[in-house]
Amino acid sequence: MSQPFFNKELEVSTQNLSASLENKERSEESYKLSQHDGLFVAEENTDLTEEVSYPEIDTSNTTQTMPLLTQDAPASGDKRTNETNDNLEEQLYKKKTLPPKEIAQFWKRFIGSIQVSANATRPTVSKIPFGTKLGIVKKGVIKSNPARSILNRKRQCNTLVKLWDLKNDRELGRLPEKIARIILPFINGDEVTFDATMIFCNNKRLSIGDTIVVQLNCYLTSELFNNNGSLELSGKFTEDEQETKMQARRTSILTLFEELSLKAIENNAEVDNILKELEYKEKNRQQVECAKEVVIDLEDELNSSSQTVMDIENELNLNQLQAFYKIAQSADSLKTLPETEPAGNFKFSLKKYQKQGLSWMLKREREYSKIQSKDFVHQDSDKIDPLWRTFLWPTFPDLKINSGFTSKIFYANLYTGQFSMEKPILKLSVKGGILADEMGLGKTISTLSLVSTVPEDTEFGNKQSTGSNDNNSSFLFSNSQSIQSLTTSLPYAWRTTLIVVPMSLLSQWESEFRSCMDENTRCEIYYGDTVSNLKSRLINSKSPPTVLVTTYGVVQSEMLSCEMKPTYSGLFSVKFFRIVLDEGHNIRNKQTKTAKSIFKLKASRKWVLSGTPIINKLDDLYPIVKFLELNPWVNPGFWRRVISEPFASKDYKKALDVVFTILEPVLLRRTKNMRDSNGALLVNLPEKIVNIEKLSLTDVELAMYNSFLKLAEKSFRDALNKGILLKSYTSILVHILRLRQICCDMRLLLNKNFAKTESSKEEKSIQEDCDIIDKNPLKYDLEKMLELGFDDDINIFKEEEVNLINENVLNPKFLGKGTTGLECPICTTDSITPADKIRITECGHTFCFTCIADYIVHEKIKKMVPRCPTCRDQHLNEKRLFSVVLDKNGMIEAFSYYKNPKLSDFIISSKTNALCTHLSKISKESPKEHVVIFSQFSGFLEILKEILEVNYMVYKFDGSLSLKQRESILKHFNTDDYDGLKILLISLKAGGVGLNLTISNRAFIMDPWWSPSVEDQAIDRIHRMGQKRPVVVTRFIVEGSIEEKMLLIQERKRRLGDVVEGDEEERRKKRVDEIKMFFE
Amino acid sequence: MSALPKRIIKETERLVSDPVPGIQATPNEDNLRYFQVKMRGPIQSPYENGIFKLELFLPDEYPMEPPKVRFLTKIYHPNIDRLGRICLDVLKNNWSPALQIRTILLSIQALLATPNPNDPLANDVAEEWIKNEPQAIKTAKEWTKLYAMNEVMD
Repeated sequence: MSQPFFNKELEVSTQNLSASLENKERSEESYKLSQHDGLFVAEENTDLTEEVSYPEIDTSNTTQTMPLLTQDAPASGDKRTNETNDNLEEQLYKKKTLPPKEIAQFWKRFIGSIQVSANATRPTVSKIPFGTKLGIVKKGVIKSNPARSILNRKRQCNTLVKLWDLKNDRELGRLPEKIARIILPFINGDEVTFDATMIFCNNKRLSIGDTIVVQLNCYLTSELFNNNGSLELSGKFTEDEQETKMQARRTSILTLFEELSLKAIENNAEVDNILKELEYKEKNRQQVECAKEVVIDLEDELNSSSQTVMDIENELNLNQLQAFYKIAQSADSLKTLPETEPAGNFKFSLKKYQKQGLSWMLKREREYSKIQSKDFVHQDSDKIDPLWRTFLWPTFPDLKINSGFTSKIFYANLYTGQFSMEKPILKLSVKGGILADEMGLGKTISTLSLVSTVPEDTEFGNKQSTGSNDNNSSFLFSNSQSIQSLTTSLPYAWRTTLIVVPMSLLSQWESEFRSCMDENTRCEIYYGDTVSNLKSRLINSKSPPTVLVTTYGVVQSEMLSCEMKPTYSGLFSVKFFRIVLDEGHNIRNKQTKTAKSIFKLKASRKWVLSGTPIINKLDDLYPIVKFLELNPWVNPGFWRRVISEPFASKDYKKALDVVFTILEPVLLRRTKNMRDSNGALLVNLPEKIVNIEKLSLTDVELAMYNSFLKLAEKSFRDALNKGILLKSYTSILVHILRLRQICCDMRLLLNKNFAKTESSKEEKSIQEDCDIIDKNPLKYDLEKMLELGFDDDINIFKEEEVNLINENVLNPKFLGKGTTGLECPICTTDSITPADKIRITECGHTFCFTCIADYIVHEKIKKMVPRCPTCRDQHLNEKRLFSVVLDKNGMIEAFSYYKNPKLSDFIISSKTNALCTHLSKISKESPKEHVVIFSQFSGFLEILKEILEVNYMVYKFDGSLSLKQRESILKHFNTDDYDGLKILLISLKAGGVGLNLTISNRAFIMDPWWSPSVEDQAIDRIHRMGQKRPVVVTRFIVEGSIEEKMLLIQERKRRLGDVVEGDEEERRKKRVDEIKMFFE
Repeated sequence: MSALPKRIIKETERLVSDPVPGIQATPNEDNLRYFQVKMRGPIQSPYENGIFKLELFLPDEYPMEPPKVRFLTKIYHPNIDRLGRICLDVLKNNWSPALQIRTILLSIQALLATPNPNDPLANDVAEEWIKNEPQAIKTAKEWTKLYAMNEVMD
């Protein structure tokens, strides 16, 4: 393991040592032999390809080592070397350039022994008696054959590590693979040493293959504890080689400790419990999953299913995610953290937990003096580094060994294989952290309170003002320098905090800034339009903006333009005092340009705000860790090894354990339902009532719905029968989309612009499928029917025709009569009720609207000309039907019929209708109310806008808006300057996240979304901090329609806790199940 | 199988409570869309005194689609083939959702009374009917005696 060079030195030293140690009892055959081996390796390195046989080496060394052997022969147990070694040790360590004070006496401490069954590999001439000391040597050469390296490694260990008959100087036997693996990484060094004693050889001469029992005594030496950096020092090796070596060493230590039952004292029992529980759940889940898989595999014949399963497994399932967030909750913080009032004229009065949060953030920035508590600072300064474990030195009261040792514990980092006698103190290297409070707990306010309290780098400012111009000058001549040197000495914008936010939140940050902060502080929004002078404004100005808000998009595009230029400009041209990433999970994919550009920003303090730092998988955290420069996890190889790989191999405990240790010190997470030290809920929001209002469709809508439903069912059954459900997924999805659209407003079917959903991924394939589905003849008719006044259908009644029919057919038969007894021969209803369902053909026959519309569709699909079912004579057309107009006595006083529609008499959909009813009620009760309306169809919002604009002030917020438009819309909506209802129409996807609309306490969700969490998010726009009134949310659901089934699916998701949407494939698979729910 | 439409329930109720004279239709207990029908041969027809068994099934699309009806009892009739299939316009193109089980069965009964050899389904029978009507009627009577006398109406 160690450098050959080093071992050579050691070899020489050992000789010196042996000379000066005549009276000392030492039983370190193995120790010495490993020194041989050090030399051996040294030679091996000069000539790797040629196998050097052991005896050659041995002869060259025999003379040097023999004296030692004889001296030490009677010894047993362990003794410390004494002061006489100092020379030696010094010599030893000088080479390693360690400071002299760390040079300790060499010692080794017995930690236990292992009984090993070994196999004889050579016959012996005589029996080997009990207690004979045996050597452990490394023999043979690892041939570097990369192609076979894995195979080799398996074989290598126990062929390389041999038991040596010291007396006869020949090979004796072979250790079991497991033990050989423990020894091999240490055989060349002296960090961990072993000596072997023959225990049992059946009291006979050994033949090849005989089993012998050997006792291995294991020692940890001072080398191990002083040698922590050795691996990083060996620059000769490539990263991969080093990685492999480190891995071997680590595994070796782990196995050794396991063999010796050396267990760490648990640092955090709670974590362990949670993880145990998790593992248990995981087992159960797997069983269920297995059962599920079988069913699914039977049903779809797709080969890709196995691929899908793989994908699923790499993601966190809900239990794991829950466990993660449970662990991450900083419940203690609410008890232990002191409260700090924000400084700097902060105008918002913080809640108790927010003050505690401020203390925590100040602590993370090491602004201890700002924390308003005296004993807080030292509270956890001696916290153990969470990657390290504490071990008790094993004690052996019966054996007279280890007598000189007084220390009781030692520390080991089992991830890196580092050891220490001193408590490894957690280094708070990073200024900053992750504020992961749950949505609605005021991350923005907390951040601003921090900015207000510590707006600038005071230390740096003081330095500057006290005259030393060193820093300043070095900053200012940097223009001509190359990029490389620029990155190291960027000018320091020590008075500015950069806040990077998603576009939709930009204006909100600005307005919150204005409402909270002192007038002397300034918040600027940076769109990338002032690239050229940004630097000078931040550096040279007397009053630079306290906060610079920009978007991920700006950062990304600025980086792209920077790559073209020789010097960095704009955001990349300075080092900020502080950077805050809002909704920090935006960088969760480290490959994205966004993430890459964010990594390039420089700051002395970095914060990440995110209520959901993990979306799908633990790896989502990596970019955040990288951004925060949390060593050592920033190293991708390290991350892979301690997190990705254990997770992939289902070692969730390990992976989560590490993630927790990473996050624990730098992450603060509080949830709404946590209680503070007084037992009060953190957030006491007003009541929230969510009403589901069931609607029924009008006849026209219902007919349209049913016709589309038939198509959908047919397409589903065909796909199911052919076993291509997953393949025809998109097309079925379009069917479902159409049904959902009909539930909202039929016009969504017509206009391509109306028909747009927010789920853009599906858009493309939907377009392709549209043609097939949209052949529904009724839809064609509907298009004609609805196209504003341009219905050129020759079937439409002309007035003369109607007059004739009235006179000859309708008037004699129906006029002035009641509607009772008007029956529908199709459903055999005696009296069609309500009367507006009655349709009369031009031949004078009555039907329910639904029945006759069904019939017409049915006949048209069969390519038949629909005729009146009663007289079988009259050709039928849905536009040539009469409905009845009743007088106040319920008698028929006139007949209405389909007229070529005009814009003014456009059909208002059932949902719109219901909404209007609600709105007019609200407007009566509280005329100046603000109302928020969500839909996922921006086309529907468009329609609603047209209709509602007549009576109310309407704003529409969707993805098509520019930043400025968004800003102005939100601003207008949030002001109280209008005497009527203000209505904000929001597309569920564009405005579901982040917006603060607490001015309103009424929301309508026009259509259900697949996942309940999206709707919850939407509701949280108004039901959040700052809301003072009870919130009423109305969700419209069309009865008996696909929407009801979507509710069921939502319920199911809630129950399964299916909060996480996976990748495309997985989602499809899940949805296929859901689709089945629709049609069965 | 979709739920039983109201119309079918209603029709069934009426068939039982207010039966057509000479026709008896009983829904199957396990499948309410499947009916066992007994039909009395019309008076003054070769089928007089015979009781004919039929099966009637209402497809999913009913009443948009006609019921499927078939004779189970062997019958000698130019419009009914050896498998009991019936050639009747209202069971095919002339179906209308305004028709019902009751009307369909009456139509079939009427068909027994007025065989139409010019639009045949059983060609041999039709031929015989045209060539030698008395002989055909005689055969029909014999078949009725032979096959349709074992049943009684409940």
